[in-house]
Amino acid sequence: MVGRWAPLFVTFLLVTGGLSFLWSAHTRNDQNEQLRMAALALNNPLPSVDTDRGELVARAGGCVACHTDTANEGRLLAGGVRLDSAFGTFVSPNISSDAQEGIGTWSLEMFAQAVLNGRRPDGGHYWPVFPYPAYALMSGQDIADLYAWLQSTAPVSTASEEHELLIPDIARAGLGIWKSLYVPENYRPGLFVERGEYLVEGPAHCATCHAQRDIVGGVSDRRLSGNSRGPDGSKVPAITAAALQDWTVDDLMFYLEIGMTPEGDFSGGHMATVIEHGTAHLSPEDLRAIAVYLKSPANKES
Amino acid sequence: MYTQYSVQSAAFLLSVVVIAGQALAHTGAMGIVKERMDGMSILGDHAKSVGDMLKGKASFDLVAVEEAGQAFVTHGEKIPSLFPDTEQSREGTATEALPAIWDNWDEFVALAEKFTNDSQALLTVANNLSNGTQSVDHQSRAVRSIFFKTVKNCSACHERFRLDQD
Repeated sequence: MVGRWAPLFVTFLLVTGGLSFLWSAHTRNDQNEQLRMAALALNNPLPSVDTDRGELVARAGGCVACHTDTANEGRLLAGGVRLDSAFGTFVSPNISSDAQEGIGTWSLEMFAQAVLNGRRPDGGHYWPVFPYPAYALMSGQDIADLYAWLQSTAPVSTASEEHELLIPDIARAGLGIWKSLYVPENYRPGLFVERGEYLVEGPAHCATCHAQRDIVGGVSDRRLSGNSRGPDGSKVPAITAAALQDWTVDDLMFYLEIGMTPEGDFSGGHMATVIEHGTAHLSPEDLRAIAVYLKSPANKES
Repeated sequence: MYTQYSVQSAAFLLSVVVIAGQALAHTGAMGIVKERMDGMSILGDHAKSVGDMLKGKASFDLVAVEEAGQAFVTHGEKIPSLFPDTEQSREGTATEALPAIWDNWDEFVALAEKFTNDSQALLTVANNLSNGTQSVDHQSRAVRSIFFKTVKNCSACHERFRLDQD
């Protein structure tokens, strides 16, 4: 008699087990998102914002590099940069201060929700091509300075283009589960001892390209051991301390400022964009901090 | 101990592969492709020489800076003629030149001209310093500033016009 009902019972267990896993992942992400916003408000009182510092955050974070279509003489932060991936082509949106097409009407809280939690003003999820799994680790001061600088830039009324993806837009609804797996909990003071590690792990989001992605596009292993299937089909080299053993701190600083390798070659491709519109603008202190961290035992292979 | 050795041997093997790969990168190039690749290698050698001085890996040597500036000017002027719109130039073995060069010819030439002009400025600065009496520290800072401006053109050009194949 029992045997008759067993298959049904097992099916019931699998379905309810699966659903409760999905539901708990979904709930865990919601909790993480609330934690991040709470940490921003409670642990990081913002006595003042510094617009000029905000530009450096935008440079370090690659905001300018990815949201300015320099190859086609696009205007600052007006979007339109295309990025081919296994999921289709993403097109970066306009994040200038324009009220209609950009983020001119956004509050600091809306902005923090986007950068830290990958949440759109309508409450939906952004595709994780927007590197919020790294930005989640950014400090409240950096977010506030960045917001102030973005709002101080010239408004550009170019409309954002739609992504051309192989997955339907409805799949975004399930991204809460994805986030529960791949977005770290939150930034907290003392999380990073060294500024270099903070820059590499947080704003500069090096692991976004220099670490492997799994089948659903998540970086579950944040070691910087390279990625043979990088953006636009590029091969992204490893930048662990072991991989960089022939590079000195000065070599790395020169590379991040002018793109020159120790052999005298000059980078091209996406890294040249990252350097030209990003790291080249950083202070010598920040470049040194990044270089020292990359060379340190903390940046390990295994 | 075992892991330490395996990490070391892995790193050694990796460096062998990387060096071999670099040696091979230009192999098979012929004619115009070989000519421009050889030219670029010479530029790279000079860039490394000046870079090493600025990093303190080599002693500061204004003569070597002048040589670099001269080589940059000479090669910079030749760049457009080294990229003719021919089948051999576009598709020759080992070429890393992207079709974007010929699709955006005016921009490509403008970048080469900017590189040549900045290189001329580097050469002039080095010449003037040779005739002056400033401290090595001052010389080094002056060279660094104009050298950085000059070689930023290298990445700017590679960014759009060279195959990215790290």
